Amino acid sequence: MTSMMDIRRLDRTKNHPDLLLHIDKALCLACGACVAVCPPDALFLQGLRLTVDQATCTDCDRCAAMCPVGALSLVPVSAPLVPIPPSPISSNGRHSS
Amino acid sequence: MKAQYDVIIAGAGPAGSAAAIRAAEAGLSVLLLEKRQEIGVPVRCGEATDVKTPLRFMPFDPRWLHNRIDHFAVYNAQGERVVVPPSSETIIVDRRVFDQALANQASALGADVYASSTVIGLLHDEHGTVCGVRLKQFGTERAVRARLVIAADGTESQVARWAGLKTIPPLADYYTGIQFLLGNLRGRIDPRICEYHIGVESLAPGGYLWVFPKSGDTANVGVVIAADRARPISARAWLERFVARRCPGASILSVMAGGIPITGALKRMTTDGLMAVGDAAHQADPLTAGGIGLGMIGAEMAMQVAAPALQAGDVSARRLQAYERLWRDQFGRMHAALYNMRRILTRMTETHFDALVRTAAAMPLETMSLPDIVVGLLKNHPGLLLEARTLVSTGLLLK
Repeated sequence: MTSMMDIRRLDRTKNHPDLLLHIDKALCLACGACVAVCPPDALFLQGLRLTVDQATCTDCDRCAAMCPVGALSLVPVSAPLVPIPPSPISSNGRHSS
Repeated sequence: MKAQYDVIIAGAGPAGSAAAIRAAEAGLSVLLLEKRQEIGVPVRCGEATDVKTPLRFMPFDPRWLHNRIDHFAVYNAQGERVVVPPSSETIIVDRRVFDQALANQASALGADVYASSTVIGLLHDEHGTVCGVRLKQFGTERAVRARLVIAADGTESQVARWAGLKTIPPLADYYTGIQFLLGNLRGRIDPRICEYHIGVESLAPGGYLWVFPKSGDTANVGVVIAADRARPISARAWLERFVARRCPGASILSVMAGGIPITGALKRMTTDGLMAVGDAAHQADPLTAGGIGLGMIGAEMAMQVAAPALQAGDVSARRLQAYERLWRDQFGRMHAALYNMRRILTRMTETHFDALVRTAAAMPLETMSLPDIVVGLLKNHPGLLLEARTLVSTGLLLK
């Protein structure tokens, strides 16, 4: 799992530093349509499990447009998607520079 | 599995297996790898194909034939339709059995075939020429060398991407789609007719819906929409809407989804020591996104160039590029025209398209030539003239 630190360090490459790609696992059919359109190759399909490398993801939103079932969306970093360990960094995820 | 082959093929779909068959026939040693546990599964396809192309690669087997199609019916959103015979004999296949039969044919000709074997990287020699793959099989990684690697790993091809061939087109050039295998359709479908439903506003934005009967009471019913128009309503929502109207109460026996590039083939399908075929090379038809036969033909063209190249010991991109020219000569103009036709269809208002279908429905299409049909349509829809000029200039109407 990519840590919040990693995500923030790469904020410069992101289109929406305050957003993160969220995979709704209940909807995802693991079809791979998103994998094919991901410019930085940040999505991975292993068997029936789709994962995103948040550090590589640039939040370009193409995968979300491509998803046939609407399982992908960009959500605010602060949304509690996965348990994130306590971090000294503020929760809005904005790059400090 | 040997340590070295003449040709390693990543992906055992129709294009990969067709490449394996032609390579084995040319006397080359072949390794055909499929990452999935079972070749042909999961099915991600409407399963319609012309019958002639597959039969050039393997003998007919009733086990992969589901259904024979006599006619295509194109519906507008009002339910009016135009019925035309297919341009070549069309069948609905069982892709699971079909893909396995093709791979088995390659195997019978001497190819080594393995499922559950994922290519995880490419090997390059000191000049940067691709010279094999790294693969993972049953948890073990190994390197296998090859004189030529074929990327046949589908729309989400990693292999073509690693080789630097894969371009990612704009979303408008992708279909995103979903399909249900529906049951309990007896009396509600005609098993001899493939239906297309077009309604850019109310049915499927930028795409179409289909009903491809597999038997008297089951059918592949699916939708593709242009990926740049896929929100806020997802492909699945459009399909559910259609099914509720077209065949309420049908049972959903299976759900499959996927995306497909509809740009026409990649300009570059080769690099030193590597060729891409099938969906990995975007070889699907840019209007319907059909790709079974096209992928097999692409694979055949690739091997037609590769076999003598391997014999001459020259797998440089310069030599392999003859494959790209073969493809362009046969499909370049036609696919450019189909691409334009899709753009015209997606720009047309739904009212306009509805009227077009109504006009065509009143014409005796079976007895008319294509130019007659076009002239007939233009008389009633002069606005089409401008758009028809695009098609003439790209060659579709001159075929």
